Amino acid sequence: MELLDHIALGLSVALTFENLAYAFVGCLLGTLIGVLPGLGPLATISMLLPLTYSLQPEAALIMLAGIYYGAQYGGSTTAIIVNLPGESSAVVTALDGYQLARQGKAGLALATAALSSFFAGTVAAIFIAFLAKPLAQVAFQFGPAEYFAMMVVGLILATVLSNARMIESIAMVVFGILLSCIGTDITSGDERFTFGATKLFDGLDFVVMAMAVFGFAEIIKNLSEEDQGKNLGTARITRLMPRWAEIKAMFGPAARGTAIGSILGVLPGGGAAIGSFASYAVEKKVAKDPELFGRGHLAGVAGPEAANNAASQTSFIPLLTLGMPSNAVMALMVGAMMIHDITPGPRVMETNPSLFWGLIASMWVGNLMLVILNLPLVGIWVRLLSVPYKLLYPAIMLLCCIGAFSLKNDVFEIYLCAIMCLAGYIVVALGLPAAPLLLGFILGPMLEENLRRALLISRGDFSVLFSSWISLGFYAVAIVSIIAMTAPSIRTKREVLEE
Amino acid sequence: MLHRETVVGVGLMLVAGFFLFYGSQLSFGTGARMGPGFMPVIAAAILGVLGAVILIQNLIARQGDKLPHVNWWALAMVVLGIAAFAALLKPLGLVLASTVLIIIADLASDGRNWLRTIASGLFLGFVSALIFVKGIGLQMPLWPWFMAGF
Repeated sequence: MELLDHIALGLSVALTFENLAYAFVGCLLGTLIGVLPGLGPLATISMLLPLTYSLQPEAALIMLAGIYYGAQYGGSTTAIIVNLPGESSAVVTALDGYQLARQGKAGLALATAALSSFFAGTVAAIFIAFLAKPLAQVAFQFGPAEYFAMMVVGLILATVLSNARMIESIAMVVFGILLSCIGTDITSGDERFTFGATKLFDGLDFVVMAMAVFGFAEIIKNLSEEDQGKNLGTARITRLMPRWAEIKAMFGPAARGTAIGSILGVLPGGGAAIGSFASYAVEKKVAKDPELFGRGHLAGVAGPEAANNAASQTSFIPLLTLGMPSNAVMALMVGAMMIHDITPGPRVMETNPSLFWGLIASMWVGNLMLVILNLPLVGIWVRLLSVPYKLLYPAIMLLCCIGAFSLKNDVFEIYLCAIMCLAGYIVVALGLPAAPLLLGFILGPMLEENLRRALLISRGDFSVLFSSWISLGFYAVAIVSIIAMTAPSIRTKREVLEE
Repeated sequence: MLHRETVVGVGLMLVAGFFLFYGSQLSFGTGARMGPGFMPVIAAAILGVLGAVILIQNLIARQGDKLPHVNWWALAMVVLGIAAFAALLKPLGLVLASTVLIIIADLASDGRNWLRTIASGLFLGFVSALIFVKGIGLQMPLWPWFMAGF
């Protein structure tokens, strides 16, 4: 069977000593930043990206992916034990997880979270393996007009799903596109907005953008906020092994959470956080004892934990098969692939099968590592929480500066970081969403290129953009989702969700 | 009182104006042959419209969120720290430039402990020299120019 061959190929790549080591480093870093509040996967991945130049592409992507899904594990550990969700996706886990911990069942809650996540990670890896081929086949039917439509829709969905203030999110996407125009125009060779500065001819580096917005600007924002006194005391960690009856009780929610998370992860703008919120809502609906939610219900941990892990993995699907990053972390992965001269899209599977299947197989291996990292070693992670932010952020700044320098072995990139940090902080401080900015920045050149090609083929006839059923389908999805999201009932729900 | 939305709307329109002004000096091209100015001008026009919509919505509603509290001091220290690192890396080398960065960065938050800050700066500088220069092989000077050759 073809699929088995692919899985075998993937495992043969993922299980080499080097790749195992990088998967482990990624998972370890992911857990670490998941535990530490104020440091997320976006900042970490942008910090480490320049340093992956020297690695093999497989090793680089395996490590960066490990950071992303590892953060989901680490984030839930602190959510359960000290009621401090390290990641936005673990906010829901804190609701019931911390209550369980207060009842002396911290061990059970941790085990539930880890086992549900592992279950979801396994299923999601298989889901990706099954879905990848057919989706890539669809993508081969796309011409430039269809790609253009897909990116427009993807950007709109990403902004609509991820933020309540829709106009501002779309404005940020457009701002990102404008920033991506800076530098030499590939087709004409003309310089755009460089004002003669030779160092800008290559354009702004997206790593610098990401560091400035998610690294530096985030630090200033964290420093401006008062200490939240949410920490209600650390719960004692007790019996880790769940009983058989408890495993049976967590299976249903975990299975439903996996399904919800897998689907939401594929959608543009979807991702770990939305998956966990949706799963919690569903579990509350289907439970026989909904009044127990918020007071320590096992399903309130199992479902969302499965969902956020499944979603963080399936969000790789649109990236690997269509070349379309569905959230900001995936946009960084695009950058990581481009560093190694790999264009994300349906061809990756054919031209780099070992990379593609190796990455998928490594996700499963990584999940196994994470269970081991998180359950027996949980005490170490909790102790890390006492590291004060005051010691942490100067080190983050130093790492970012070194990373920026290493991009081109040039201090100019560090100066650029300082300037972009100023601009980025204005954006962040005003409460404007930064993720759409990065998505627009990454997708801007691709949008322009595909539009140019489509119009070249049609000799300037704009109707080519609406001439195929695939494109029309994409636009229809965009319009429906905008209408649905502006509808009052859903809007209020979204606002509640954001709080 | 100034609303957040007013600032956002006007700010976006200013950004759009900048790109529109300089973008229109580039060749716009035709539909069949998009020039370098095509995308920036269209995108800037959209941005301007979106900014105007936010502003008009705000002016009609006569209400909006409060302007955020801006931590100017932290912003200045972070930006200064980055710039200082960039300026000092070549002449002073990684270890000392890191120390300066850590000291300035530390000023951004409350609480002073000079000894601890300088020690942690030197420590982080040494560690990153070990990892990134000796380990990964990044090309950057480690020590001040007059100590080159060590």
